[in-house]
This record gives sequence, C-alpha cells and structure tokens, in this order.
Amino acid sequence: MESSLLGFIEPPANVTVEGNSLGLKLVPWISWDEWNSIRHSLFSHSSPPSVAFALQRISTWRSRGCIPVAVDVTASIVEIQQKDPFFRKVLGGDALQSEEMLSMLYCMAIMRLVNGVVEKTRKKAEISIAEAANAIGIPRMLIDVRHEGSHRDLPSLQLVRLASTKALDWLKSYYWEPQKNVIRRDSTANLRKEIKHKLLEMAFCLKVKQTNSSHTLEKCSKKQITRAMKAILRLYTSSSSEVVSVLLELMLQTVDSSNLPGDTENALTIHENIDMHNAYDDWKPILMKLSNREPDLLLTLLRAALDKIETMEATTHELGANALSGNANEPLLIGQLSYLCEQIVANLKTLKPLTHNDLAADGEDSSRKLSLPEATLQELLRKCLYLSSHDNYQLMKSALVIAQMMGRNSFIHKLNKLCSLSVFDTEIIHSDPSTNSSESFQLSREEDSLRQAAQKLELIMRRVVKGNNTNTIDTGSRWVVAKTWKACPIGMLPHAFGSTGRLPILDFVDDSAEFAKSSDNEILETYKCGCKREAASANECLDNPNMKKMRKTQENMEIGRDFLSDENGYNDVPLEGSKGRLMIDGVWKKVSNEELHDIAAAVKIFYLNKAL
Amino acid sequence: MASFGDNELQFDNIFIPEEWSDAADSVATTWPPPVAFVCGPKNSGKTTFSRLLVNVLLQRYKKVAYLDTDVGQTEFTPPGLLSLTTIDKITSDLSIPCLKTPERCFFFGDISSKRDPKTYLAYIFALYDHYRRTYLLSNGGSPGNAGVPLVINTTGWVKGIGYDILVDMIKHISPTHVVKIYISAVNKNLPAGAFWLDDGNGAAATLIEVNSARQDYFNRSVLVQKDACLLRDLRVMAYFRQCFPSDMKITTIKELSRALAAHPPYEIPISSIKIKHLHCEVPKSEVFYSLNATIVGLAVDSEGSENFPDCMGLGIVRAIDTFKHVVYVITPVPKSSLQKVDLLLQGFIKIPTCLLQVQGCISPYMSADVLP
Repeated sequence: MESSLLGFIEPPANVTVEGNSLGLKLVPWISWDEWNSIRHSLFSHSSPPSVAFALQRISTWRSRGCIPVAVDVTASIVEIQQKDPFFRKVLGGDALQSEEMLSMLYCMAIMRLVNGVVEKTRKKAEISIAEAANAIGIPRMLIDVRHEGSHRDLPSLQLVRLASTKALDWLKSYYWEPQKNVIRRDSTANLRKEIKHKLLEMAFCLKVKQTNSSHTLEKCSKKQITRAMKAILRLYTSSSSEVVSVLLELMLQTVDSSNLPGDTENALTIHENIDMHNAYDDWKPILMKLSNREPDLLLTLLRAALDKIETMEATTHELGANALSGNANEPLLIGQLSYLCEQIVANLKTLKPLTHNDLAADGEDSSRKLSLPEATLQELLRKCLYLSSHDNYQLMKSALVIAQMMGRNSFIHKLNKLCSLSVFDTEIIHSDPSTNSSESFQLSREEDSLRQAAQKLELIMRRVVKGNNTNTIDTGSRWVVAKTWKACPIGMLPHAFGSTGRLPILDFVDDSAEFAKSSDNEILETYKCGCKREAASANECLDNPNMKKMRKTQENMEIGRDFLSDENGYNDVPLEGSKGRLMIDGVWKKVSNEELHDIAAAVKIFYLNKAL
Repeated sequence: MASFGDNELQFDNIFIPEEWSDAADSVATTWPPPVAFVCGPKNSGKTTFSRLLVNVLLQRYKKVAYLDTDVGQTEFTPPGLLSLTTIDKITSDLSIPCLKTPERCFFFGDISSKRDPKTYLAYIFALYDHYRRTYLLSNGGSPGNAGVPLVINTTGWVKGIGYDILVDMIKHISPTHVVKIYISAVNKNLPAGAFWLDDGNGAAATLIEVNSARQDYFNRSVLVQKDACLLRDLRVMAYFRQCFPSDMKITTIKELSRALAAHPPYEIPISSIKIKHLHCEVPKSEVFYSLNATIVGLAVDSEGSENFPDCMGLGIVRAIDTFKHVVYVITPVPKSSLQKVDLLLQGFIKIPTCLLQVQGCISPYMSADVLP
C-alpha cells in the first residue's frame, strides 16, 4: 500500500471554486428541519425536557466538529440558565447553588460569545474588539462583562444574569432569526419555479420545431433545446423528486395543444374534456429525450405517479363516496395517472436496449445502470399490484409489463391469472342489474381486499420465518462488503429510485436479539401487547427523558422494522414511529396516547400493504 | 532520480544546504544505531530534514524506523494518526510525502496534541517502546532486527504546552541525537542549548543545531508556505484513493468523490462493533447523529488490557441504517486486517468537504444558505 500524493495535487483554486460555486458549507445537522426543530426546542422555556433534548443534540453537533460558534454559545448560555435557580424555579439535583460558580460560567460563556463571534468578523487586528463588536451590534454590556472578566474582578451574578438574557436576545436577532429566514427564502418554491420554467421552455421549443419545421425560428434552435435539456438534467441530478413532481404536475395540467406552453402558470384546473392521451403525446418527446440521457427519470416519474394515485385513493376513501363536491375530478385524475403509468412502463420496456447503447458510449457509470435494478422493479410491481386492486386495469397491465421485464415466467403466469380473475369479477358486477348500487360494488371490493390481505399476511409470516433463518447464517465475519449498493451522497442511504439517496434515521435502537428468537405466532402476540403497553406508558413517556421507559415501545417497533425490510434491503419509506415517538419536522418527537393508537392501527395496515 | 556523489546529495526539486547534509552525516555515522529527534518551530523544515536523514541512513542501514508525532501534518499516514513506520527504500523526491502502511499506529483523532496531551504522550511512548522491544538488541530485540535507527519527527508547536510536551518526549525517549532547527525569527525558536535538561540531569544526547534551509546563501527557498488544511484534505483523499485499484482512472478530486459515493461499502452489524468518541461524551441515544458521515479510526479493542487500541487505518462512515442495524464504512484497509477491527474511534478529523459535494451527490451535511 504505497501511493504518491502527487496524483491529487490539483490547483488549490479548483477545490475552493467547486465549493464556492455551489455556496455550500459543512454543517453538523443533517437537514434544516433538524436545525429548525432544535431551534424551537432550545427556546421553549416552558418545557425543560425539550430544552434538555435540544442541548443534548447541540452537544452532539459539537462532537462532529463543525458547529457554528453562535449555536455553540447559545447552547452554553441556555445550559447555564437551566442550572440557575433564578431562571428555573423547579430544579431537581440539577441546580448549581454556588453564586461564584454560576457567575464564572456565565462570564466564560459571554467571553466566548464576544471573542468567538467578533473574531470571525474581524479580519485583521486593525480594530479593537470593542469596535468590531459595536459594528455587529453586540450589546455594550457583553463587551464590558468580557473586559471585566478577563482583566478585573469577576462580574457580579446579577450583572452576568442580565447579560446572559441580553446575549440570548442578541444571538436570536443576529443568528437564529436571520438564519431561519434565509432557509425559508430559499425553499423549494424557487427550485420548482426554475424546473417549471426549463421544462416549459423545452416543451415550447420542441413544439415549435415539430409544427414549423419549414422555417426554423431562431429563438428555438436545436441549441436551445439541448441547453434546456441539460439544465433540466442538472436539476434532476441534484433534486430528482422535485423535477419529477413538477413534470407530473405539468402533464396533468390542462393541456391544450394549441396554446402550449402559453399561460400554464395559473392554478391547476381540470376540465371534464381533457384527454390525457393528448397531454401525454405532448410531453412524450420531452420524456424520451430526457430519459435517453437519464434512464432513471422514467422510474422516478412512474413512482411519483403511483404515489399520487395512492394518496388520491386514500383521500377518496377517507372522505367517502358522498363527498363529491371538491373531488369530482379525482377519479378522472386517477384514470389519467394510470394511463400515464401504462405509457411510462411501455416506454421503460423500449428503453432497455437504448440505455445500453447510450451508456456504453458514455462510458461513465455504465456498469450500474445497464439494466434496471431488480429491486426497483419489484417495488414498482408491488405498488402497481396494490393499487390495481381497485379495478384499475391499466395499472394491472403495467404490472404485467413490469413482470415481463423482470423475466419471471411463473410470476407472469400467476399475474395473468389474477388479471383475468379481476376482469371476470367486474364483468359479473356489471352484468348484474343490482350491482349498479354502490353497496354491492363496495362489498365486492372489500371482499377483494380482504382476500388480498390474507395472502399478504401469509407472505409476511413466511418472510419472518425466512428472515430468522438467514440471520443466523451470517455470523462468520463482521466486515462484509454490501451486496447491493447504489451511488448516493455520503451520509445518506441508497434509494431504489433516483440518485439522490434518502436520509437515514439516526435514532438509537437497541439490539433485536430477543426478537429474533421468537416464532411468528409470538411476534403477533407481542406486537399486540406492545400496542397496549405503549398506550399505557405513553403518558409517562410524554415528558420524560428517561430512556428506559421507552424500551417497551422500542421492542414493539423493532417488529415493524423486520416486517418492513424486504429481501433486497430497500426500505424506502422510513417507519413512522420509533420508541413511542413520531418524526416531526425531521426530529423524533413524543406523541400522545390517542395519536399512538391511531398510528398503531395505521401502521398495521401499512405493514400489510408494504409487505408484498 | 536521486544521485549520490561523493559528499553531497542532490534531489529533485529541492536544494539541501551543506549544513544539513553534514548534520545528517554526523547522525548517520554513529554506532550504535542512532535515535534522532528532530525539532524546531513551524516551517523550519523538520519534515524535509527528517526525510533527508532517512535517506542518508538508508545508505548505511537496510531499514530505518520513523516515529511520526506530527498528527496535523503526518508523513506516511492520513492525519490524526501517530505511527511507527519502517522504511527500506530511498525516496527520490523530498518535497512530497507518500503513504505507507505503518508498522504500528494509534488513532489520536485530532490535528493537534492540545486537546489531550496526556493521551498523546502515552501513545508516543507506547510506539517508542514498541520500537525498543522490536529493534534494540540490548532490550531483547531479535538479532535479525539489529541495527535499525530511528528518526523522530515532531510538530512545530514549541511554545507553552507544546514545549512541555516536547521536553517530556525527549526525557522519555532519551535520543542519541537531538537535531534542533533554528529560523531567523529568534523569538519563535526553541531555547538555546540542551533545553530539556533540568539541573544537568537527564539524557545526554548529542545536540546538533542547524539553521532553517530558508537562510541558505543562494537565497533559494526550500520551503513553501504550506496550506496545512488543504494538505490535510489531500492526504485524506490520497488515502481513500487506495480504495480503488491504482490502474483505475481517478485523477481528479471530482472523480474520486464520485467513485467513493458509488463504492460498495462494508456492511457491519452495529451489534458487533463498539463506537467511541475520543474527545467527547456522546450520549448513547445520539451516537449515530454524531457518527454519520464522519471519518473514524478502525481500531482493535484491546479487551481490558492496558494496551491502547491498535489502529488499522481510517474509514468513512458513509451511512447508518438503524432499521437494518448496520453501519456502512468505506476503507482501503485490506480485508485481512479488518477482521480484527471491532472498534470505531471517532475524533475530529474532518472529512474533506470536496468529497461531500460532487454534483448530483451532495451530502445532506453540505448545506446552502448558511449564514456567513
């Protein structure tokens, strides 16, 4: 193992240029949601446990070694105030009684604040600390405390207490609030706008090219199309989900072929007479062009469409058949989406050899993208099948095509059977005069889903048993290279779709050794019990940082984990709960009794759906 | 290529003053094999002198041991490691460092000894004791290993705590030679004479004082002001470059970042390894928040003995899956050495940000909209 460093010595400018162009900085939090939630907890004076939680997380940020000084000092001051009986009336053993110690702590924190924050703004030692502090509006009192503390007597506790409050106020106005506003401003809205703009530009150009091929407009040269396409692809690589969601939105919008892309900025309105077929035809050239360059796009788009159908169906079910007013368009939309899925799948199939050539020529990353990942196809198939249970032939067809792509003959055979079965079912329904009533229709539907649920449950059971077996085999060595891997950013887990990866859930979970031993019957039993225990202990858990009490609920969630993970190891949707907490704003928060009940019920259904 | 004349050494890209080659010669010609301690302020040329000395020694000895105590600007390893390396080949270019697999090393986990001087010294003493046990005949080393001189390179931190650490090191090691390099800024230099002796007691080492090469009469500069941070990043990147076969086409940082993002990592069950932060107390519930996307030392837990955990190399914790109970680690350490590794040591060795922001694969820890 011997290699020269020289290979890497690029001009240093190169290193910084790349960083600057994106304007990125290393931060210790995994998302701004995490930051924001910690900000919220840190300043929630009324709830010591959530303050304690925020302080703990910030000390974790410190351990990553790149914490902004303002965050660091804010946490220090808040932590000291939490130990001061003056600020926190009800204190356990936490309180620090010695006034001397308290003033020293406050004084040190304030000195670090003044020095730390000022040092960053003061380029050279040309101006004094006081002048520099003044320039960024640090209250004079803090500068005086720093001066007194370093050169004279220790300032009185009364003074430093007051100063600590001023310091927090100033930190809020200097760092926390402006930082919060900066994130807001940048939100996804701008990004979506840009994506939309580029997509429409490309669509417009292609349209013009198609219709007036005789006299090519200068405005829409081939160059412009390539440029727009490149821009879209670039956006896709950095934020695939946004691109796809905008694309989907655009495709679903009223598309009148005459005025594309005209005035599409207005709100999404859908008329009865739109024809998705037209809409799709309009966008097809773009899709083809984009997917030739980025085959992933079709997969991501398909998934987004399926997701949309799923959410729509969920809301329709929730609202019931009677709530027609606002949702009259929903069945239509679902129909359109299903059609879209069918088309995409058809495209996927044709794409395969294309991808081959294109990437082989490209050379880069070819090994990974040559064929569509099996796991991804499985996932898509699963979803198509699940959604097609509501008499959606288009999705059923899509599922069939995907199965064919996977090349599993036995599977295709079974699917064909299932397909004919459901056609048969609905034919009966339609031939029967009484079935026009929604009641019997509903009934057959329920029956259908029940049957499916039973099948799926059986599958889960099998998988659990299988999982137990395979777990025990692999004990030889702990350093094993992951079997499947997909490029994704460092710090993230690979995503079955797209190249963006997914954020990991980093909360600590204990070993599931105990669970692994139990048989599947017991699993279901403990699962049930778990819910009860969870409910009983949830109240105590609410504001109690003591982790021991979380244990029970934790075990319970571990079952969920195993249920969720499929053979390929892709769990695309993170579990909704862990340790009796809910992921809210990127952070695990404790939830109430009733909420837990609801979740438990929902999660059960979720497992069933997910497991196939 | 290096060419050796009668009395002078000429290397590519670098000019070695006569004073230096004389000093190196005088160390090399002593018997028993010398233990040379090289010290001096920042940018005085300690590392360059050490490289020269190693080369001169290699003309007489088959092997030379090198104790690297400069955790911020390491010689043969990525930063943050304290290492003992044996060298058997002359390096032709004195201006660049190259990576070598150390014989023994410990992960200190920071780029300066100031965070934990006690542990820092303990690691260095352990490495030195290892050298003595293995290579010094009088201490029971095997005859085959006889005659391996040692070169000790140090940091440029020669004031305050840094000075105290330096003195402690010399006292424990009692080198045969102390090479002290002076720079023109007098107040930055180490004290004149045998500064480590108190009241005439202590190791009687031969003191050799030389001037920084910067002051040579041609007025040619040997030393370029280094961007320590950039060099560290480059060293880390060169280290992780070794994850890939050397014939693989990776010449730019971008290509490396892309390759690392796509590289299938090791998948280690969380239950089979211990995780420890060297410099912070991280609550158990927060361990993964702390660990994700950081550089760790891959160490062998010494199971209760007073030995320190041996470090096999560095790894990047590229992801953690708490549902699957696994940690994903990228490392160039050969699989055979990895099987012993059961301890991940976290420190403050920063992962180079250019590895985190390759286009299309931007780490969540790289964020836009950060207030300046």
